Amino acid sequence: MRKFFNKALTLPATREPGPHCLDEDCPDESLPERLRAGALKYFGGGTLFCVFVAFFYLVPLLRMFFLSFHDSGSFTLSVYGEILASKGIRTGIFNTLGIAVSSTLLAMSIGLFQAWLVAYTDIRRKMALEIFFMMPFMIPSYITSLAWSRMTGASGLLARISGWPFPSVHSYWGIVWVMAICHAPLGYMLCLSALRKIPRDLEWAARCSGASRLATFVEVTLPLVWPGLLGGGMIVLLAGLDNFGIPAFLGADKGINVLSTLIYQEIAGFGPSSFSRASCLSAILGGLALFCCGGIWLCGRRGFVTESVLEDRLPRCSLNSWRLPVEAFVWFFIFLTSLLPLFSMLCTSLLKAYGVKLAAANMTMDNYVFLLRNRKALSALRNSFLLAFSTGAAACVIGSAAAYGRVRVGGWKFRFMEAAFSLPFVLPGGVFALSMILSWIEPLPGWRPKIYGTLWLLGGAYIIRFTLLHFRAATSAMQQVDVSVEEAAGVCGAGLLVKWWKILTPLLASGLVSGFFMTTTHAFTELTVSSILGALGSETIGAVVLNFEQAGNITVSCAFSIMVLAALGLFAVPSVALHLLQTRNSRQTIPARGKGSRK
Amino acid sequence: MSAEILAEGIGKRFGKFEALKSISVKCRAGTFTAILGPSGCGKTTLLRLMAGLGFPSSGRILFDGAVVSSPEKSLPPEKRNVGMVFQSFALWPHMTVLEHVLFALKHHEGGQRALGGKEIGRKQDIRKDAIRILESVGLESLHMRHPAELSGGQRQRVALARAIAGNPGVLLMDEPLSSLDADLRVEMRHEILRVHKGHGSTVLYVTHDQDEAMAMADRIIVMNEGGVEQTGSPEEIYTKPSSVFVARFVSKANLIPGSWDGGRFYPEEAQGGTEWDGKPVASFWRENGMYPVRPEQFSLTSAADPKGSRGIPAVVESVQYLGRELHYSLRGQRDLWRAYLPVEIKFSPGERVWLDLTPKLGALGKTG
Repeated sequence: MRKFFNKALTLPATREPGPHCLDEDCPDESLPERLRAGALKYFGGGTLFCVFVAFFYLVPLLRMFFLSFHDSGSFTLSVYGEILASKGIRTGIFNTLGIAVSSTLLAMSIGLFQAWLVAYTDIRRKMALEIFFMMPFMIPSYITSLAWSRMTGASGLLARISGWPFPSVHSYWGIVWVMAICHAPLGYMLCLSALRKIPRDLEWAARCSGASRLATFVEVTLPLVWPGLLGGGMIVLLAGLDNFGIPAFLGADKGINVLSTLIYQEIAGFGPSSFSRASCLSAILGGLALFCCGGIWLCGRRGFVTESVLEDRLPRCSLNSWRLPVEAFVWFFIFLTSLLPLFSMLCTSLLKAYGVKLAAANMTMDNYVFLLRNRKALSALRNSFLLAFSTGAAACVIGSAAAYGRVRVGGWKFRFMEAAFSLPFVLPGGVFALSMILSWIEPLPGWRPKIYGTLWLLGGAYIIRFTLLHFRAATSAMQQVDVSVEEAAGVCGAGLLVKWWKILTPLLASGLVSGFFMTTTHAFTELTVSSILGALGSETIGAVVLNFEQAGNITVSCAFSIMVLAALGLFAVPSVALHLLQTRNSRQTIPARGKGSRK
Repeated sequence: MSAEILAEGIGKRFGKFEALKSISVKCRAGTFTAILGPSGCGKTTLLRLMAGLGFPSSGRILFDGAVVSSPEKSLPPEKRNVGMVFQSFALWPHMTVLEHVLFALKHHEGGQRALGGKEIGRKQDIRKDAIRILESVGLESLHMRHPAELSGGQRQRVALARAIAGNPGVLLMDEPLSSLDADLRVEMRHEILRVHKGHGSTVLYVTHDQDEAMAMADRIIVMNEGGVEQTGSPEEIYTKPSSVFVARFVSKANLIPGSWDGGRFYPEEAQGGTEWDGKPVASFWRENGMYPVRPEQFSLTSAADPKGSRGIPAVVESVQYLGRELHYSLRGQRDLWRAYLPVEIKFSPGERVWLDLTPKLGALGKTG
């Protein structure tokens, strides 16, 4: 699971179609011509597929960008001027930057420390630690903020238990803190792979050349991890710009706005010029996000290519007498930041009313009973399940086909496709959702499909937004199947169907299925896009939690969140089963000359 | 079952790069031909064209007189009745050893014909055939294992068994031994030859190791930079190189500059009236004023020896002791020469010596 998120989120993850040719200095083009020709035949030369991808994935974003310069049919910058003149929006922009940057710094510090502990030290119970470090990542950020909001503040669980006044997370720095907690796993994963990829020999070589432990770290380790850390930081920053749930839950009542919530308010407000104003805001936010992407790309290019393919998992640094205190600290941190908030939420969900004393007499299951009879809640669950599975299935077909092309055919057409898949995913959800509305009002001149406000538009938007996740999973699965393994089937007399059924499907299955579940989980808990695209009757669980919370039904929103977490647990079952299957399969991969098909 | 391979003017371009320059090759049915060349010479590309994994830019390939590859039309590998052993083995991690062989038996055209077409459904028969094939490579006891549970040599045998299972007319091997360690490589040479004898396919074997090519092949095609340098029996290639490349790459020969006078050769740096018999040398060398001398053909005499004073003067630069023989590096006026001598003849670095052709052996190729 983790390996996957990593692959899915690191932007420059795909390597070029590998050195299939076994003569070292043989040119790249020599590669699998027969497979390439066969695949191209089915893609219609790739061009048709490109047009399809461009129309669905890129055109909406471009249309929105151009619309932001339009006012009553002419090119103008006036909307930008109007927007930037507003003090509230200027504050929103500064808040966006401030919150994103400070939460990134905090999340990366937490992540780096956790990663260092797991990758380099001899701390005990690493498996458990890894799971708990990753836990906030599995939980949607709006549920985390909900949980934190129940734990802190004057009426929070901490204050009730201890009697001390705890500061509320409904504040600027509260938002920063919760966002940092939510994004720390991202920082942790990126740091972990950066740290593990540094060959131990390089550090030993430095020590042998007379460098001290500290000098080795400063002069060898740090310069090597640096590009990875910087790139990781950019990814976390991107997530911070994108996030809508945390500021929407924690900032709305205090009037703290960021760009993503401002876009939501513009659209929800339905004013006369709300779409063009929202487009401008989106263009600004999208610009910031693309700036981050540029940074990620640069860091990826500057990264050192070290020869060590296998990650080094043995501890390199002993904590000695510090081990126990460090362990105690880490587990306390986990308890405080991961478990206690969820426990607070669970307690609140069982209360008769928010604010009453935490006592057995006030406990009830009424909130859950209410939800099970509530039409809105049930239809939201049904919608989200439906959306999740159809998104997973559609993304599986499109993503796998494109991944096969990317790995076996290559060339600019498939690189273009990869870029086209990436854009809807890396752009903030609000920006993307708005572009979908604008472009699907009249996608082609004269054609007005009237799908705004229906599940169809939301489903389409999810497929477009999450194709990248499956594409990445499928790409990495396919890269592990050496070309010659596929060619050998042909040489043995197998045609296309037999090759796919008997050779490729068994080898790719686990990768594709886990890609499917990753896409499904993302779509299931999505909030930003659905809060903008979902109308009455097509609400998703995220939007319904937000509605309950905004309407003051705090105990009910907590109960619903708990139900969502339980449903997420159901999603986790196949993922875990799959992980076990994968470990079994990885035993079967064959190391050819110590490289090649090995994972 | 074996097929004759005929390649006519095969060319292959990748963009501007010309990987193969109009290659013509003929392999008689049932022969073992090695394609020998350094990496990047186009030998793997040629093999892939034979398998139908790539398309030629010009020329055509015929198996038993039928065109299988041409720029217009190229049969896919599954329609060619070929077997192939890949350098990386390309075993399927999810299949057992037996399943590998069964797969090839079931799907291969040749295999189907051998089984009588309709009888494919009879599972027991195919299984028996598969076991028989595994027996021929000594793997019958491991038939339920997955590739990951096998050693390098065993994987090699699976790849070989799979390649011959379909009873292909043409068996293509792409550096099949390069991923094994040295001892196993020598053992597998015998194994492959044995399978070839029993089976009889026409074998095309790509390698960059000249020992391997000479030990196994009936004929060797030496390739360099996309072209054929020389074709011939191992002995011809070794003793009568007809180009600078073959002399250097296969025979590791010293190319001595000098002048020709009819059948006699006068080395440029030699003193004391040295002359060598030029009869056994290919005409290429006469035209280019050179004489190829393999390291083991040199004899050394000490400059201090009064009897000597004939040959090319040189200084011993370094000596390597290899058990059976000594390898000398000798500094001439301009070049560094290589000489392999029996361990009894010892010189130390810095010593001055005379280099000459060993009188007993005479010139290159007395044997050929």
